[in-house]
Amino acid sequence: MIASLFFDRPGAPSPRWARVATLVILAALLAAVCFALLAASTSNWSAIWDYRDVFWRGWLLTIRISLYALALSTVAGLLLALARRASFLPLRSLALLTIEVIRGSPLLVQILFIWTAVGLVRIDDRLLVGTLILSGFSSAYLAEMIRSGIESVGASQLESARAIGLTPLQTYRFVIFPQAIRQILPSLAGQFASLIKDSSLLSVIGLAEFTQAAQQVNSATYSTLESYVPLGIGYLLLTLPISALSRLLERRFHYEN
Amino acid sequence: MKIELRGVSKRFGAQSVLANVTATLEFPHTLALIGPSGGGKSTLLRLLAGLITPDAGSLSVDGHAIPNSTSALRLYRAQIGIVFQAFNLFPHLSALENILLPLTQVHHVPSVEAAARAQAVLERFHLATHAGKRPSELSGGQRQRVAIARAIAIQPKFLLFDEPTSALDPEMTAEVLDLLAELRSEGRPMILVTHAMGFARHTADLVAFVSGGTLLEIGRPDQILEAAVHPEVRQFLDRVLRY
Repeated sequence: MIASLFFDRPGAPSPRWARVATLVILAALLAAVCFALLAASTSNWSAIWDYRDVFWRGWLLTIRISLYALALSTVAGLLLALARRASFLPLRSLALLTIEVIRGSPLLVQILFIWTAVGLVRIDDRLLVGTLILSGFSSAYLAEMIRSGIESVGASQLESARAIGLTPLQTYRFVIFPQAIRQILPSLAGQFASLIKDSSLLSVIGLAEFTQAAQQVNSATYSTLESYVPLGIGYLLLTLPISALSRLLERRFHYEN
Repeated sequence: MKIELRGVSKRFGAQSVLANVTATLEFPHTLALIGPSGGGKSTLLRLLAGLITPDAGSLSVDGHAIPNSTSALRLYRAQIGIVFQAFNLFPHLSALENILLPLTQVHHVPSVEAAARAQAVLERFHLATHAGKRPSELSGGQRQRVAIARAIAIQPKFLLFDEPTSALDPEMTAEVLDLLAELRSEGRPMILVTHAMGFARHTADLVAFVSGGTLLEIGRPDQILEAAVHPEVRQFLDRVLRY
């Protein structure tokens, strides 16, 4: 983090005084925000500490949901991307329709709609349904990224693969995927960070994930701000490493060309 | 080597690239296809490579018809070494891995033997020190030599080159042409599309002039380059050889 704060322009590094000034300004701003929060709040931090177990369990559940959804949506996204390129027209159209419907409607609406719909057939496993909705949502975005990655591999590469006698499956495995992955890694990392953040919306169906946990603590202790500060920090703890990783990958990819 | 074309036609959309070509091309080692751009020489080479199929007619190589079905064509292609203009190496693989991929995955050569074979061909082409480099770290001439090494390593029945030097500067062109001349001496048949007339004259046994979707003239290099019968061939060569 610190490194990317100061060395974001390798061609024009900042002078030492600018780095010191940056640190001072940032620290002052952070202190001001913290002071304002503390002054405005009911200062009921000990009550929050009593509920640390609820936060912890919610945070772990958010991680679990995100990991499941990450795996599921990667597989589903890959299949959707391949379906988008299938030679069988109905399959292609169906994949396009699925992607457009999912990307065209808000996640919150999808959660409410699907939760109500599955309720009619008496399915009430919140974790299962919530994870599936989130996976479906993310897979549509992943599918478009994967498709663009596949299409970024040039025609001359495909011809080369044909010329040396690779089968279509081998061409995907040895030529297309390794190049496509490299191309789309930064955006994939971004999508995975989005997935973690989007999982907070599952609180509306009463799934006891991180956001729901914070709301529970809030209603039990009447200390709103104190409940939401750890909430924000908890999400940042998950997304910032992914973002840093993505920047690292981006740079590595950049130097390779 | 003997290539027979019987009524071969190929269209791309509304454009007819080869029109009902019938010919027999027989040569000991090297055939050069020359002629103006868009005349059909690359299309003819790609038909021989099994990368495309004719709309009508048939081709045969040494008496064996080139197949039409997708899977038979893939097996046919696997037996041929094909080198394109440029950019035909896989950029995410090192020079060595580029050579290994067809050996291990298509020809199922055991990995120890494949590594030995790849190493031998890299050494022969003076590329051993570059084995671990990706194509982006190699010069244009080195890249094309790796591409030729990849084509040779599978011990192909014959080699096809589609303007192998057209994307290279003169020094690199010489480097690649030297290699091709050396390959000629080992006796594996080669067919190449080329704009390098001097090279065609020195290296080819037979030259075919392709223009307007047909083989206008076929003959020994000195015959074609110095005493072409067809006026269009003479006109083209006068223009190309003037400088």
